[in-house]
Amino acid sequence: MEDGLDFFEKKIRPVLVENCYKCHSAEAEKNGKLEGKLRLDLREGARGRGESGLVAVVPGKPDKSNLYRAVTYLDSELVMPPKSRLSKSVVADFKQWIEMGAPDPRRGTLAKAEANEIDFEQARKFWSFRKPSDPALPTVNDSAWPREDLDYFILSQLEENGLRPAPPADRRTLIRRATYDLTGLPPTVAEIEAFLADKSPNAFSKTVERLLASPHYGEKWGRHWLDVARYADSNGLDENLAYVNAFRYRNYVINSFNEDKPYNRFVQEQIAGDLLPLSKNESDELRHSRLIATGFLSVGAKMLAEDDGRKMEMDIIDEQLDTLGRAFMGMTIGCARCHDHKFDPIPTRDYYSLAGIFKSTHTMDNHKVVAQWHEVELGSADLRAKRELVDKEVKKQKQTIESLKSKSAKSITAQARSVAADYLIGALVKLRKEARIQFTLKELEEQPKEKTEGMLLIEAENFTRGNGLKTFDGYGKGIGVLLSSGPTQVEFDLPIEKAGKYSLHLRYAAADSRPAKLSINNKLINEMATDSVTGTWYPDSQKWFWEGTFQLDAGINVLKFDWATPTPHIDKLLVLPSDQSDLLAADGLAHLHNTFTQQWIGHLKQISKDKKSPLNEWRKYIENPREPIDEKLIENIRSRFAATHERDSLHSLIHDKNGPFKTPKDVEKLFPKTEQKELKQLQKQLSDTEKKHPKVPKAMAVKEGKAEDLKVHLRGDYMTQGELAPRGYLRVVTSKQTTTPSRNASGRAGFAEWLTSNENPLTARVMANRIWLWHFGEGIVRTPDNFGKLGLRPTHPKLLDWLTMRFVDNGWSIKKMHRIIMNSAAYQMSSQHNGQAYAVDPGNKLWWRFNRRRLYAEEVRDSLLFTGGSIDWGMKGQLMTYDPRQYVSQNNHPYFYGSSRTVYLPVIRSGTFDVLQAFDFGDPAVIQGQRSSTVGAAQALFMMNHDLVAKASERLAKRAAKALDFAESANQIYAAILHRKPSAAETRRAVDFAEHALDQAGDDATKAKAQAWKSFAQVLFSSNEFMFLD
Amino acid sequence: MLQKSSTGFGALALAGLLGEEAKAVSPENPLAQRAPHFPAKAKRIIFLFMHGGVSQVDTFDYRPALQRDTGKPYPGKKPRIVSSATGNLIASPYSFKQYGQCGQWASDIFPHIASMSDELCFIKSMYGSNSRHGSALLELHTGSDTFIRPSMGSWLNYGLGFENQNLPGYITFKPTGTHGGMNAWSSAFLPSHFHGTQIGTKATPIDKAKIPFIDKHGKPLAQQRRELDLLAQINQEHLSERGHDDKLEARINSFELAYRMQAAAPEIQNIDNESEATKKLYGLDDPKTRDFGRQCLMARRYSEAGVRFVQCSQGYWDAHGDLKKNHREVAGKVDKPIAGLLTDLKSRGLLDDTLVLWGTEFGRTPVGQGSDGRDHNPHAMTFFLAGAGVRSGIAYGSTDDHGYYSTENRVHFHDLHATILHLFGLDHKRLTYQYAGRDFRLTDIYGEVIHDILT
Repeated sequence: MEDGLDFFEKKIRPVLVENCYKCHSAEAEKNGKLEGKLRLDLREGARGRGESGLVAVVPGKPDKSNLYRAVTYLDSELVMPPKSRLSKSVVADFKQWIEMGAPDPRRGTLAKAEANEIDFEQARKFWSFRKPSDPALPTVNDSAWPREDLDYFILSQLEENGLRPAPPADRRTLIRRATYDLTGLPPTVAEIEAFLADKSPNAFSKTVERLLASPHYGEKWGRHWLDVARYADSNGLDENLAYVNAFRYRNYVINSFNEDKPYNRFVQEQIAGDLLPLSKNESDELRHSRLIATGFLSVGAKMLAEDDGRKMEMDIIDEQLDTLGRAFMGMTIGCARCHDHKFDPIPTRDYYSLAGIFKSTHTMDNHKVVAQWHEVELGSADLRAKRELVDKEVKKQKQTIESLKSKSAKSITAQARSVAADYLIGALVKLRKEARIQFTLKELEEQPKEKTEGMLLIEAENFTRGNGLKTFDGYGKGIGVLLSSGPTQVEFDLPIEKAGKYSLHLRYAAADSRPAKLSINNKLINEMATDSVTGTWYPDSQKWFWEGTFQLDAGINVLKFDWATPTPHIDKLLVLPSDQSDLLAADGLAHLHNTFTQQWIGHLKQISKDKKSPLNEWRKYIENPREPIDEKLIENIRSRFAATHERDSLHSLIHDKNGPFKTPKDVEKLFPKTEQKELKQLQKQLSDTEKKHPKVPKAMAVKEGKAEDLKVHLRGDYMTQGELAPRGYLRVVTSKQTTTPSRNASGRAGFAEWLTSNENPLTARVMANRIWLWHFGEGIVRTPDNFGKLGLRPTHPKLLDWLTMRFVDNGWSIKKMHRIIMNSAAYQMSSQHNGQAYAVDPGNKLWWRFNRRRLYAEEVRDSLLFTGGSIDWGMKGQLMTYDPRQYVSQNNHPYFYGSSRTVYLPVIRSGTFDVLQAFDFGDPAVIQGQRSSTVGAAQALFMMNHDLVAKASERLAKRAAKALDFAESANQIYAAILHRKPSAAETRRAVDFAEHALDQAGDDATKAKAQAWKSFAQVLFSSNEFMFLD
Repeated sequence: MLQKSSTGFGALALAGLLGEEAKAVSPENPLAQRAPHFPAKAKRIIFLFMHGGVSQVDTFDYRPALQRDTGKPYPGKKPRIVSSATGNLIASPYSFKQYGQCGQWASDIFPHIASMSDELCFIKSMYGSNSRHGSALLELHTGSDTFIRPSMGSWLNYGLGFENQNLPGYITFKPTGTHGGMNAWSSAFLPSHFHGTQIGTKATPIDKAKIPFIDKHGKPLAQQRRELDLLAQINQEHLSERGHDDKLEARINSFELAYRMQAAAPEIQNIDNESEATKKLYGLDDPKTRDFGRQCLMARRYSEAGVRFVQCSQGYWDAHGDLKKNHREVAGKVDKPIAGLLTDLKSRGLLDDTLVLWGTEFGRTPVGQGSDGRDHNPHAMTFFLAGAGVRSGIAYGSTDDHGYYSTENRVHFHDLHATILHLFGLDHKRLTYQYAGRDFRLTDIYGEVIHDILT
């Protein structure tokens, strides 16, 4: 023992101090640097389990000691110390020390880990977890200003800060603001004129109603949601596969906004549309839309080529949780994957409770490389009926084919059975031939030359003539083979001393059948020589084959192979003087089908295992290839076969369905020519019918999987699991009414219900804030995707609560929210600068004016197309022409240059359309509650140089150039781009500009004029007045 | 009109919240240069990315035991997670020898680079976390093999601003569109100014590759100037009617910046006035090396002009079979150009404050895949650095006897990222950005600066 402690002090302790204490000691614990909850500075710690659950040091058992496993550096899962392995002698010291029983004098006890439980009651007091109140309207001094209730909240806070709201925007500004806001498009000249002419007090509300009723409303507001849903038409990340069916989710979103689907219903459908109750006679359309809605869970970016399938699965679940947490609740749930959330009351256990719900949901069909996401079929009753009809027809035709096949096969096998004795003889001979070759080869090696007299062994690559190739590498490594790359003819001159019968053997490797026509001395002997398959093209699969027995003359005989294909990879030829069995074999067996002969050979090879075989009496001829076959034997076989009767075992063998006369797999090849032709016709007919199969549309969607609970994954690693986390929801939001998931279901249905319960303080609040943000450019909470501790607090908490209450009261109607907001005085303020207010509140957090904003990427492109007069208004399906799951190419797709509205352009992840990219479209792999709005050189270059701008300018100019005079041309361009009349000075300047440009242009006056106005139009498109909304 | 000023850039709306450190980003001009945390050794970096996975044991990590034990099983344990089945050890098909005063080993496929060994700092113990191209490539570029994160070029420019206000701060030549594509040069949640500017795709001939939208399509310069003058006038009137607005002002300036960039970039890309000797140095006279050579030459020219992060890419090293032919061929495309770049940078004195980084997404297995290939291996790879602030003529770290795992002085991608930021005067723990509820770093919660390789 003394020795042991001495060993520890000398060899072990210094190493531990030097290499391990930094992360595994009291000191480390004090500094918050303790790793894996493992202490190595005390005996109790070293003998303990740490976070991994594996014991670090098991006295006497190095193999069981996790510490030893780590220091050996043999297992890439766990290597310690992390930066450099210890020297081999130190590792040996550890082994010896543990084998000695790990003597360790370091006494002392570990402090019990402090329970770090979250106090949920306390946590629920945080503003966003409190139930929204229904605040009374605040009192204001200027009671004339408010137009809607919400205005009281805005005005009271302004007044508290000694500020006044900006004056109302002029009506031209207002209609431009509202039209872009609700439809993403500029108003038409006619719409502006009508609005300006309407003097009724509700003229603006009428405009709002008109815009809300437009199908373009959903295209704009649906796109807002698609930002939150990180929508895309390709996977992105590592394997950028086409999501050709994602568009159904996109159009579902657009339609949902257009029909003002209640938001709680919208949320439920996206989480659990497949599980919502439906009455039996519900329309296909509704049924399908519910399935399509769950595409929300599927369209995220996934690492589809992760070698670690379990990690991939947990990563995909994490992506779902992270997205839905922020999208619906403004909660960064993803932060609790590896450890309890650092700021919000979300323990790791809650993360895995939710993760269990999605582990029990079938999102992926597999997690292999490359993994497949799940899709469902969306057949209508009509389509299903049509498919059934085709199915029936297919079945019928298949039956016809089958019956023809079986009839012909029967006659072929019956014919073969009638000469069963011949097959046994043929198989016997062939089998013996191939066995004998082994003896012969041995003799060739061992015996002096004279004993092998008359034999010829030829390296195939040493052919006499022909266009074959040879290689000593790769396919012919070490031995040299004959091969070729196309049709091949090869001849061998065989010097024969004595005329007589000789058998020919070839050794080759072949992955496919490559038959040759074999002639001897210009006489065709065998049409199907060298047709066997050995497995691969490589030498290790080479086999010997007997190609037949032939008469050869004394002198030179020419052996000729003629392949219509490349050759098998042939190593050697062997020519042997024939023995007796050859002579027999050569006679009268030409009518045999090789396929059946091979089946017989296969059977003969098996009979040694079967004592009761009716062929037992001939076994010695099989087992000993040198046992001579004589005429008597052949006579014997023939008479025995002729005498079979029904109860005889030989008869049973011949008629056994799995015996040597079983129907071969490719029996069609044995059919007579006419039947083969008929069969071909029928098969063609069948494939034509199959082509009529209606294409059943598919959607990316989820379904219920195997229900199971997860354990907490320590540090997010599935290899180290902790306590069980039964499926459930965020405990901080749990109220009494909510149900817990049943054991047999994933729990999604309950989760969707819990999310949209009026008791849930987050869901309605988060969306009310989003709606405000999408109107005003900033939220009341300016971190729309984060309502947690690190998010910002609401600038107007009461207003947010009030809006939330109205949202819920109004049946979660989003269109009603638009009405409330847009009819307010706050919305209708001017965006005019006010130096005094700016000094107090530069960020406009009090809403002393309306925020001026740059056009969104989609608005830029759509406006160019619209103003140029080339926009295509149709709702689009999938514009990509990729096959499902095909790899997409990087960028500059032709689809980007079509003229449909931008919302319908495919969103290619990791290769977004560069024009949208330049205007802050953002990364479609991550949720985006608020787009950036930058200005920079790339955008300027786009306006200066891009074809989209040039084309729109050109189209506009062509029309304008036809006007009576230059002033009228200028007016038209101003009206089209800026929706107003130019001032006299502006007209003069435009005319000057055009005239100057004309002077510089060539002779063609019409062309020059159009060119000049094109240039001017491009300037107006580039102007801030076009690019910004006041 | 052509004032060379970048002031007046408006308060650009930055997505997300600026973290403590990021408050240094000026709202008036987010591109303005910012002081580092401590004095920097490097001002700019050229990253030579070898796409596909370069085999360490066939290039710079000479393993005599591997040459000796060919055909035998690997004596250690193979990783639990692998991308393909592998067999026994296979010796490198190339011959190795030592180069320079430092005696660095290199195989015969890199004669030019090897001859500069005394200028280089090899790290032979690099390792990553993932065995697939997409994940590994993203981890090398962004620090995460699972999520969308800003790339290192974006972080550097976010931390330090642009050195040249007339050019993008982050350029990537001909990057691969696969294996994550844009996510490798994306600013992700950082403000979009810090997004990498792609010049050409993998398929674009290098002399045709341009900054997006920069081509005037033949419009006469005088006409464009007249348009921009009119535009400025119209925009000024618009602004004065509305009083103060940072963003309107910023946009007015952006057109002048674009105009200058339109002049500056083609000038940099025009290599007519480079001497024949220089062109030859980069291998422009040889069709084999012409493309990557020109990438390297442009990298030097953009670096010289003050572009902070320039990346050149060359694939495809993914030798699952016929490694001998593959590696010799791809190495032949880059060997001379890289040596030329290093020589050129040195002779111009640029190597003093320019960092050159050569690396790949993962190494390859010393055991064979099939008869003559190697599988992906994130557990060991070799990188080299040169220039600003790194020691030259050294090799840091090592692998086990057969080159399967990094074992001595292991350097994870996170450690490399921490070290690069350090060379630029940035503390990787303090360069943060708050997004989605927490402070993000290039190095996540990991990373240690490798002080041993620094001067």
